[in-house]
Amino acid sequence: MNIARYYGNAERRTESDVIDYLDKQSTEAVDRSLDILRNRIDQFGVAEPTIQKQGNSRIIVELAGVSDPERVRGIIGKTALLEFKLLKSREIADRVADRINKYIQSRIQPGDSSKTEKSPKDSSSTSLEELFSVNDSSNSDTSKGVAKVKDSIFEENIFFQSPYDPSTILVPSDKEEKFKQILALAEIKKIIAEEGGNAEFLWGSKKQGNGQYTPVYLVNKKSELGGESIVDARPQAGSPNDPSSMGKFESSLTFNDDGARLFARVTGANIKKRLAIILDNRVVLAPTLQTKIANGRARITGLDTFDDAKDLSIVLKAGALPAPVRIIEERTVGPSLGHDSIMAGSYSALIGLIVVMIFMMFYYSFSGVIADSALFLNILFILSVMASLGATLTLPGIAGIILTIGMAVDANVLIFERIREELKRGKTIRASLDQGYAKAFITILDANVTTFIAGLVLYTYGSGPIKGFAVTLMIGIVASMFTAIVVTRVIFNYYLGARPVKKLSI
Amino acid sequence: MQFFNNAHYDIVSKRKMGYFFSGTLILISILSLILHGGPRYNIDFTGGTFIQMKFQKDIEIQPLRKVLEKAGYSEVELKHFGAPNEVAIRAGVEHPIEEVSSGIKAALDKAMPENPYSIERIEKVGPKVGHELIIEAMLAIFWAMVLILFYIMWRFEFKFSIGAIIALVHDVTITMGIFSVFNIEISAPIIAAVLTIVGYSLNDTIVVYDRIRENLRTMGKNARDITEPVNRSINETLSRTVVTSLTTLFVVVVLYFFGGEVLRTFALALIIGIVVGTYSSIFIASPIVVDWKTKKA
Repeated sequence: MNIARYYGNAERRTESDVIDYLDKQSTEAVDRSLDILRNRIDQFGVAEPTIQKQGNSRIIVELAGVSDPERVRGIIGKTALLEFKLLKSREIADRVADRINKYIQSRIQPGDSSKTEKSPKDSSSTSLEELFSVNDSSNSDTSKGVAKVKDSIFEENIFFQSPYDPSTILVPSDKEEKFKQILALAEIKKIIAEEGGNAEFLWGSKKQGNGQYTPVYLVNKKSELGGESIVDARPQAGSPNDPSSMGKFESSLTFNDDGARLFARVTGANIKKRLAIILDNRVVLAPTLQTKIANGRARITGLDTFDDAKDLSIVLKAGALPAPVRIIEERTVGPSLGHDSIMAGSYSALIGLIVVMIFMMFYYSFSGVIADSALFLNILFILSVMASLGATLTLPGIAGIILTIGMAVDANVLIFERIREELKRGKTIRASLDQGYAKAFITILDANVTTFIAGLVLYTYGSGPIKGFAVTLMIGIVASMFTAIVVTRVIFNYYLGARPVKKLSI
Repeated sequence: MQFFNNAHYDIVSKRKMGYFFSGTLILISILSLILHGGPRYNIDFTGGTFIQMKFQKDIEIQPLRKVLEKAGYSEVELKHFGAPNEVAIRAGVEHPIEEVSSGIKAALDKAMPENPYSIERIEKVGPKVGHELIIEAMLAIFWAMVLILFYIMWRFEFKFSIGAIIALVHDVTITMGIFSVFNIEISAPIIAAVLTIVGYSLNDTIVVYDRIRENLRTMGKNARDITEPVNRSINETLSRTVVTSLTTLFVVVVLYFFGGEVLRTFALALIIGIVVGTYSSIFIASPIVVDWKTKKA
């Protein structure tokens, strides 16, 4: 397929141009999402969040001390696509609803029994009859079941007017899915187009009547104003003078100059019409315009809690995500478990360190003490390098350190064993030391390089905790090469240089 | 203090025993893996939801299962986790990861309000992520082996790298096999442990190889019979091999007992790997070089 023919333009003539452009777009979308998420989380107020890109299309967010993960999920996942769209007039909406209801009626007239009986068995295709039946999945194919289906069709009223507010159309919440399927039918689309022109149905974000009904709004497809013209959004308490907002909370929006001008024009030209405030394709609010709003301010009212208002303001202010974000992996650790595990890990590291140190002292006497000081230094190195890299000390990280403790002494074991061998051959202390270090060095290098390769591969392919483990392992290997070879040598040299030593304690 | 002072064990001539022992272990491992239908992966790989909860009072599994079954979670796995008042719940991807935890919480709140709980840990992994992790893990192990193979080929000889890789496959297979026999789950940290074993076992092997290379040089290259240099190298490094394995084992065993429930299987994998890796570097990796060399020469 020649994509350039379909998607090319003056600047992008060839196929590779188009592909490059698309690649760039998708990379930019992820980078922008990263910035926006960072903004949102910064405003949410969590200490030291980690927000990283992983691979091409993934973002890792790590937050400590969050008491309500649900709220974070809401802030992260919201696309926050804010739009202002005009509602179609009540007359048009009523006509559309009427015609759709009539259409539904016409499709479910009795007498066409062959069709009705057949439909419950024909589960592969979604016929209208199935869509309109109440228990479409559970009804049996007995005659009673069919009769019930017929009854329910007649009762079915997929639209009706809200008893509180006749300008709002309600759909029973449990029939939302069905309604969506109906809207997707070509005939219905035609009805909407004929009556409403370029219009579409959007769902309301709040259910009504104890959550049993969801309002739908017939709005212009064209967006009058978008979220990009918002410069500020602040949460605030509803005004006590206004009975509809009293006790509720709201987000107060400020538009930029262009946005303010546009907003003034739209509100001025459509007085007495309703303007829907739409967030992520759901109508949050559809107030009737009473007057021209020229000061570039708008309020989204009727939010239940201050946190709701705050969260909404955060996502509006930080901007809309350029691409939808789906949470594909989520790990939450409770504060006590997190604390317990880190403590247990740290204790183990300490106990392990002490056991190894004592063993080395027994096995190599004074030389063991030298190795111990190198080991101690090694751990100090790992911790400080990790701190300077800004790595957080996680459980796998602690495991990496613990493993390094065990393996770090390996270099010294290799050196000391060599020195022992050389001494056994009757060489002088000085010569044995030189030979021991020289011969062991090659072995240490080869052995550590292979472990380092394993660490590198872990770092490349692993994610999250495995990466943390790999980092500590690699830092540990490099640090242990230095401390075990250089530092111990310096100590030995100082020790031998200070006074004549008859017998090396090793 | 010194272990194996002047050790002279004739390990190479008894290598058939080592081969037989390892062969048996590998056979058991492969049989167990086949019988269990592969390794038992946890949600890191399969996708799904893991919830660890701590109840105020001790709780029985059976009534809890009834509550969850009633709420429509009949296929979830339930078991105690570390303490009688802590429970781990595992749900597969057939329950969408967005809903499981809130659904289970709602069911418990309703059914047993007299025993309140706190959520200690929730892990949700989408099926796609899990699937990718298996591929990543396989790639990681593959590339680790290839890179190390090349490094050994460069530093030593081809015959040596064959011995090292056989020892490596031996260690990984037996570790996975033991996990399979005891029906322990493979999680992402276990893969990290296995890769560490790869590095560690090679570390041991290379120390012996290094000595073989050196001894071949000093003893003169007698290509006909390298049994003696290999045997001598194993014995000369025996003390070091055991000491290093011991120090590493110390810390990992401490980790197993004091590191908490979360790190326990990770530590177990390392313990098994270190024991098997030490054994293989003495009884498998170097003797194989002898067999390979004599055959080709």
